[in-house]
Amino acid sequence: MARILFDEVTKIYGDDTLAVDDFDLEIEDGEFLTLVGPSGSGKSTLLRMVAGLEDITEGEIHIGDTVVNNLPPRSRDIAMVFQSYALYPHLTVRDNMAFGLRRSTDLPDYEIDERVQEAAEMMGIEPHLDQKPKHLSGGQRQRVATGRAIVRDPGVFLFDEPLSNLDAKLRKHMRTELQRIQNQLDTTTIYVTHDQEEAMTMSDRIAILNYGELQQVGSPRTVYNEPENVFVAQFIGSPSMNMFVSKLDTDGGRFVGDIDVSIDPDRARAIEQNATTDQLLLGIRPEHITVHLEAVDESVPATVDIIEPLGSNDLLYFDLEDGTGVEEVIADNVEIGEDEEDDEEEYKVFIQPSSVPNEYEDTGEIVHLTFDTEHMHVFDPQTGENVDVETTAAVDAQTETAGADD
Amino acid sequence: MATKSRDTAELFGVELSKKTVDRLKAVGFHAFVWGSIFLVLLPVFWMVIVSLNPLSFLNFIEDPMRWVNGISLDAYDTAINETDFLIWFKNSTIVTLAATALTIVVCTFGAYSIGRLRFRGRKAVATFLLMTQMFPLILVAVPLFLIFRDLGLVNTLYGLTIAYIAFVLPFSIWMLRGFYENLPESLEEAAMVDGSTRVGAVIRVIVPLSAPAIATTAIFAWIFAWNEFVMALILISDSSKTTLPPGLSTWVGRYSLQWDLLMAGALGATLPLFIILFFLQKYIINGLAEGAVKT
Repeated sequence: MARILFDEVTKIYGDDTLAVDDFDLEIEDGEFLTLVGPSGSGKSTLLRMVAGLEDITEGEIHIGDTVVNNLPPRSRDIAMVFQSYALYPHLTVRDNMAFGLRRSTDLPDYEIDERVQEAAEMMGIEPHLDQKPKHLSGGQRQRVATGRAIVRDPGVFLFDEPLSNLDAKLRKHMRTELQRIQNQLDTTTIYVTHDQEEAMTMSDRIAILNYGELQQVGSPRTVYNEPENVFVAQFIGSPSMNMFVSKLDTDGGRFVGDIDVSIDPDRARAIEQNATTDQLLLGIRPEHITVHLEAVDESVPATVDIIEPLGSNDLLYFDLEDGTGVEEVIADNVEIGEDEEDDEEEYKVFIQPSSVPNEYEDTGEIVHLTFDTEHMHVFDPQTGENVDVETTAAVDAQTETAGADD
Repeated sequence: MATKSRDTAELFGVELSKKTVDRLKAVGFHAFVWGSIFLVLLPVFWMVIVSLNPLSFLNFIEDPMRWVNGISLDAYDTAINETDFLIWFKNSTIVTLAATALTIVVCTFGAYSIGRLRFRGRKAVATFLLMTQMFPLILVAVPLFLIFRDLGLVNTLYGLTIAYIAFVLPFSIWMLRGFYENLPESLEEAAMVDGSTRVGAVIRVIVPLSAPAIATTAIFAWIFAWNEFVMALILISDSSKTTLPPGLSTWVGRYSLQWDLLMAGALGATLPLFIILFFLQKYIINGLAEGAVKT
């Protein structure tokens, strides 16, 4: 059994930097879990603590049934792929891959050679077995690093941003390959990345971290459709979610502010009960807004800033009249992600290519927006929490929350 | 105006065919290089010439045949059979080998510790090492003698070896430390995850990678120990334990300066250095060319 348990794990560095704060998570045997978050969120630190390359300040980490806090890396039955690959420059690819087996097992030479051969076939690097790393391309080195991990047949795979140094096309290709390999081998995997797209495409579950705290953990669909707080909502999904500031008018069943939308009265009451203020954040993804050239029922006027052709559809950036910035209403201690903090409000919506004429760009021509309120998320700017009861109830039922924010 | 044909080029204002110009340039270049080599090695050539037949420089130039007629290997014969040269050579070899080998071992682990491991006082140790380099050998010679005498290390080859290691270590550690600091940490980490202990990771991954740097340290230690005069003179008074530098110095004035003998001895003393440097130099160049430090 190679499940992994984080039990109230905390990491404080010597100069009193808090890197990980009271982290709880259980990863099941055979699961592919991604730790994702911005730089400095503690994800690499957590991975290194599992590997035994960092000390654990407080709490326990279990691999299988064993508490591994005091075990050295070589005794934990793990294999790791580093961001820089860390291949041994003075050894051939074959020796690189055999190194681990020679050091940590008593296997006879012929068997080691067999396993190296198998792994090399799986990674497609057979022709390079007798070359040294410096003769290989970046992609090939990445495969050797992965092959080196595979050949050890460990209980856990640890990946530390292994695809960051590859170009975009190769990255996409390797993503699928890694996923395929993991499915085939069914080994528990912890994968660290800052790229949320990578996290979404590869994982069974995603754990989102910010400043050392777990924000939410769940399947890719869950964290996309049911974010528990503002940070997760803005971090997951590209392009990111639009945030509008509006006041809740419970009796009228409406939100009034940046955008005016009506909602179901029951839902409004539930929100009012959960929220600490009536000035709320409405999160709507670009695909849940429709653009009309003429005014329609319930539509909100907006001006076109710029239209980006993306191929199968266009991305239209719009501005609202009299918008309130998210900055103004959000509490100081609520995180929405550093990228969002200093930007001017950028609202986006997907449109069919050329459905809005290019002449509309930056001229003050009005377009009319309607919003899919079924897919709208409501957040309390004072706490950052999702206060829309319907969604949070569903969240509780479907995902395992870590409880760190409650 | 008529244009120059493509086949001509200019050299010092004279127009010649391109091929000729290229050839002249090559000849000039080689002449320069070989001339420089000759100039630099002239003293060594002269040592060989004198050891075979001790004529003055003017005589040699005036009448080279006179030199050729008087060639003999007598000087070498005397050095080997009638003096203590071989004893000194043996002692030098023992001390130099021991000092170099031990320096490498201590230096590698010491430099790794200072350059890599995190412990309190790490910077203080490094600074301390650097400070000890400020003291010239002569300055500490007498205090060192007193300490060694009290420890019973005077007049022993062990004592001399220890003294040499002590003098070579600070600089060597400092050099290697810089090298280790620049190696990516992920290399040892990968080795440790793969099944090594930290010491195992150092021996199997770090040391092979730092071979060029270690070889440089070895050369440095070797040359220092082999050529060292002051401590060898002060610490050793027993003629059976004397090393080459103090030994050869006794020939000056003692035998009323037999030049051929002196040159023969000097050549004999220098030859090992040439050989060692020749072999290690190839190793260093190979190591650098292989990109041993590439990640």
